[in-house]
Amino acid sequence: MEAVNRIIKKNEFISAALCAALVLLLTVAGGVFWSRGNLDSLQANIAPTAIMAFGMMFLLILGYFDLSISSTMLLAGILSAKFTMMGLPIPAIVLLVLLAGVAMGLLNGFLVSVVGINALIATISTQYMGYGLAMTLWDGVRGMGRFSDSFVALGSGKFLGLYWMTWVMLLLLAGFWYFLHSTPTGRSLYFVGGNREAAKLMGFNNRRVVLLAYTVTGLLAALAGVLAVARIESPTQYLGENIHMTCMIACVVGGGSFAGGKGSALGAVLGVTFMSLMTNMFTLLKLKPQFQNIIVGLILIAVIVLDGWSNLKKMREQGKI
Amino acid sequence: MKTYTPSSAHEMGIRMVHQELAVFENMTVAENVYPDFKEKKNGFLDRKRLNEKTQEQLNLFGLKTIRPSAPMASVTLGGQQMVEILRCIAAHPKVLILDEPTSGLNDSEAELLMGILRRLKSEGLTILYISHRLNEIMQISDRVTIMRDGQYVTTLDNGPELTEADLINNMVGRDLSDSLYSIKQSGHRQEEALLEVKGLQKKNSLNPADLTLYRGEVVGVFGLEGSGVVKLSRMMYGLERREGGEVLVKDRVVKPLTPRAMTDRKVMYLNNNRKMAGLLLDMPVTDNVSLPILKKVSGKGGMINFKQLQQISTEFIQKFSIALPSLTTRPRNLSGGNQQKVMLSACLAPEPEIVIVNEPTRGIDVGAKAEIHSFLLDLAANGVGIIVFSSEMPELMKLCDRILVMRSNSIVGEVPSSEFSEQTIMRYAAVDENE
Repeated sequence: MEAVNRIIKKNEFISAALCAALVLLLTVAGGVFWSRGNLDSLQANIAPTAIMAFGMMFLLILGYFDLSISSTMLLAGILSAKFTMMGLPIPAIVLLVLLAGVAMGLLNGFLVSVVGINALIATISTQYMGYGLAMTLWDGVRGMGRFSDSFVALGSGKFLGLYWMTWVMLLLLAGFWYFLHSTPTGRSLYFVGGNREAAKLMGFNNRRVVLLAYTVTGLLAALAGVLAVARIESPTQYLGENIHMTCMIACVVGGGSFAGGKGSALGAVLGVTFMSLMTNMFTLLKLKPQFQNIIVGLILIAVIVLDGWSNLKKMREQGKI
Repeated sequence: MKTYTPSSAHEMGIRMVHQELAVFENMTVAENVYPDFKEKKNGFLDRKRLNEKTQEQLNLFGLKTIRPSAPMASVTLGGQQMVEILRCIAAHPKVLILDEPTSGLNDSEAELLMGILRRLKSEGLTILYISHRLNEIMQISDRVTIMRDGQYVTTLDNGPELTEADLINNMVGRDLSDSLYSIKQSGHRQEEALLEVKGLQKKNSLNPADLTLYRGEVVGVFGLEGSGVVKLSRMMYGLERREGGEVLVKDRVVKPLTPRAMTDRKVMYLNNNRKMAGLLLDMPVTDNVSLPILKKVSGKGGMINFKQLQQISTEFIQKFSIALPSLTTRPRNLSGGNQQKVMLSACLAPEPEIVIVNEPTRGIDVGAKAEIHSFLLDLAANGVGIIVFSSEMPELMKLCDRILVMRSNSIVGEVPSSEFSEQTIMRYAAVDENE
């Protein structure tokens, strides 16, 4: 009972339970859920989104967020095409695109932590700028057609039945779990996000941590962009549409909080998996896709209300408010 | 030393326990005690070792109910305060500064802390202990420095001949010959109860409090910081959640107890912070005054009668002699005294029968202060009941017919005007009679 209680109290419990419920439902409903084709499309959907969601989760732990990752992803896709047309070798393409992501992330981090602009305003501005930049470049690459086979392999190559990008996601999951769990910098995210003032008093470098988190987020968005566009095989102007919202919802369902101080790498993956399974369910069961957004919205509200309510109850019991 | 910042103080071995808790509720107790713990085992953070080290600290101070791995959010306020103190001690500082460390502790916890500090002192630690509680100061200190109104007063050796009365005399000691501070000769007869507070309470912030205000009476409430004065003031006006008790206006229970219900019963509230919650700093003075009386000056169809509004504003401006270039002046550009008068105008515009004022003259010049005082006394003479929450004793003694004194979240004494003296009031506020 003690063990069960401990699992229920884990931040990731809700998202894990929701994922399990959806998998169960889709299995019982029969059909093609467990088919190779469906699992492949699920992977291709989950992996890039989860890679970006790691960054969003870091920011949520710190009490910030980033709305510009969708435009960074799009920019990464279009830049990949641009550099391909310029005839650059693949390692150079990837490196340059990742650098562009780092630049976007640094800009966000600078605006939020050094200039001190509200994260909402700062990242909406950079989202617009990134989107505008991407659209400017788009005209030059729209006629490109298909990427080279070796670039496409980045997106559809497999190892032991899993896409490379899924392996990348799993590797990052392990790395980030260790980072958040066992490194001083990783732990400091929770201290700064939990109580900014107190963290400052204790000698944590708040600014540097926030700058780092935004930079990593930009880098991850660019990485996701390269992998996703390689899987699609040709550049598209619709890459990453609204994915910043998907990531934020996924992270909150996965145990993150806009108030900061909580969240985990596993939660990000579980949250994204839940979002992808929802889409998958609506497709496979031929439900009206319009209802999907309504249900996701309701679940998000339920998760947040439940969390806030249990916190309020705890604080009242202790007479803190 | 070039710049003095919290981190440079850290490096010099100074640790401070802040009055406001600086804890991380999202982390475990152990992580709160050792926020910079870095030891690893097999490449992973050695949580077992972290918890053991914390347990040692907890044992050292006999804190048996707190587990190192428990989330900080699950620890009571008193426990959190102890954990914060432990964090400072665990860093082996050279100087330990404690700012009102017992404000969140109950009696047995405070007793425990005194024991801890005595032991640290005997081990050679230098401790700077800031407190309002005289019995703690008397118990623990070698020397006592007294400050008043932001100024150094004196430093006394805590020997056998030092008494609490010595401290109190130095804490008050204001020159009362100033005509600004005469003591009120109250001839008030308590006949018609306007406002009654019965058993108002909330766990850990206010013990059951009772208070009755009569027509034409001015009742003062005095208490040092953290004594529960602010809670009482806010709770009796429905600004803060309560766990029990009720408020009656003219013998009828106010239900639900909300600010709206109170204004409907002609009870007005003057906030203690005019910049944060009191004035619309960037809207014209007339708009500030009209806020509570918009309904009154609106005709049929809900149109605001601006003529009437100007008339009311002008009346107040003359009554208070507020120095205004024009009615459209924004309060942001006014002096503190004039701001305070505008705020009071807004509070009195609805012609209330009961007024609750908080720090009515904080940070304003002597002239404006005297004007506001005489205005409040006139109001009372005309039958308005007034409750004054103030941290300025002379102000209370000038305005009030009686003063209630709070300490440790309770009303601990009532002083009638015939017995007014700073010593009497300070004794209630700072000295625990049970000790």
